[in-house]
Amino acid sequence: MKRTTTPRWLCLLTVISAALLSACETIPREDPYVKFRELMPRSILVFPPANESVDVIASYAWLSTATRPIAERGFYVYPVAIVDEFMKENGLPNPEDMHSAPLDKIGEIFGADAVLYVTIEDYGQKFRLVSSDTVVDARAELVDVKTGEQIWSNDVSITQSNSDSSGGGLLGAVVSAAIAQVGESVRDAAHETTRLAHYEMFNGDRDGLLYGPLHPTFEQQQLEAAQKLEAAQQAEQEAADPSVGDPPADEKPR
Amino acid sequence: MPVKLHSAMHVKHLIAIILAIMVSGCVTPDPDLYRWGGYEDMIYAGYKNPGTSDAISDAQLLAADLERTESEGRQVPPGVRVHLGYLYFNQGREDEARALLEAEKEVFPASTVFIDRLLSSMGPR
Repeated sequence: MKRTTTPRWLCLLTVISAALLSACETIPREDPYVKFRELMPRSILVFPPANESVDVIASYAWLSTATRPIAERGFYVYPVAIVDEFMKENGLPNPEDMHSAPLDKIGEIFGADAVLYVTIEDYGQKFRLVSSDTVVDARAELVDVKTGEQIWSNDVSITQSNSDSSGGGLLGAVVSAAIAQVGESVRDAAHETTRLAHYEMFNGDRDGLLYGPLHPTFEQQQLEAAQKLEAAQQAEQEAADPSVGDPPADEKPR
Repeated sequence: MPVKLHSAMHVKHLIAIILAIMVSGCVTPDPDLYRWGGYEDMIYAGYKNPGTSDAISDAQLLAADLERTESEGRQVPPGVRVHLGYLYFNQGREDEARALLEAEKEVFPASTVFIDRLLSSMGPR
């Protein structure tokens, strides 16, 4: 039996071009976005987050800057402050109450395709001897309004150091850290950290939101995903039954 | 004559540019879909200092943002028209409020159910 061997240079070339082609994206073994693609929402309702931190402003600091990253991803985002007001006027004064509102009611009132539930686990300043860290820890879950299924989830943990080198020695640093902790500027520092947390949460290549229908790359993203899925199914089929892989010429491949 | 040298330089430049484009293909940031203006900062200020928040100056800010965004030929973000419409309605400027809500529905059909609810809660025209 004659053995056909592939030239070594051809193998090398194939490996190199595959590496070059895949440089921009990593293909996970199991696609965590299957549900997301299947239930792809057009509109996302964002409630104020439930707050497990000790800082009362945490929920609304998060909410006030959440529209931009989600809308820029290509989704319709309901006006967050008006939604909050509407829920309060309808007898749900706290974020926790809003989170327990039944999905069918949410669908009826807002017509939202999906709801984003966020919990702030930690927020604000962590006091140290000579410096302080600004911390924002949060987890988020995007839920399909019609089915109640989870479309996507992610969590984020950001720590930014605010070491102050304004001089004054150790005592000066302790004093300024203490002042910074109670001062207005601190809350704004945490608010800025929240923007970073949003970015990490929503824009990550591997765990962020997919692009929504209002984004110019949406069609392309969906097309590529469909092609990838088809290729994977075909490979699976071939692996299961090698005869399918190379059909005779008179038989039309599916 | 330096003509030959020049064309050689051009080829080098062209190669450099092509390489740069290839390399940067993965990391080029997308431009924003919308012009955001002061919308989010205004919302934050309203929650942070509830007493100092003023519906009239909020409405002025959003109206100025809206005008500028449209004059620049850019897109108004989702929700901004609704927020402004809500403020206008509470100030008795009902026609302007309704027009803004209708515009939101037209630009973002996904908002239809909520907008229709708000419109009907504003009572008959």
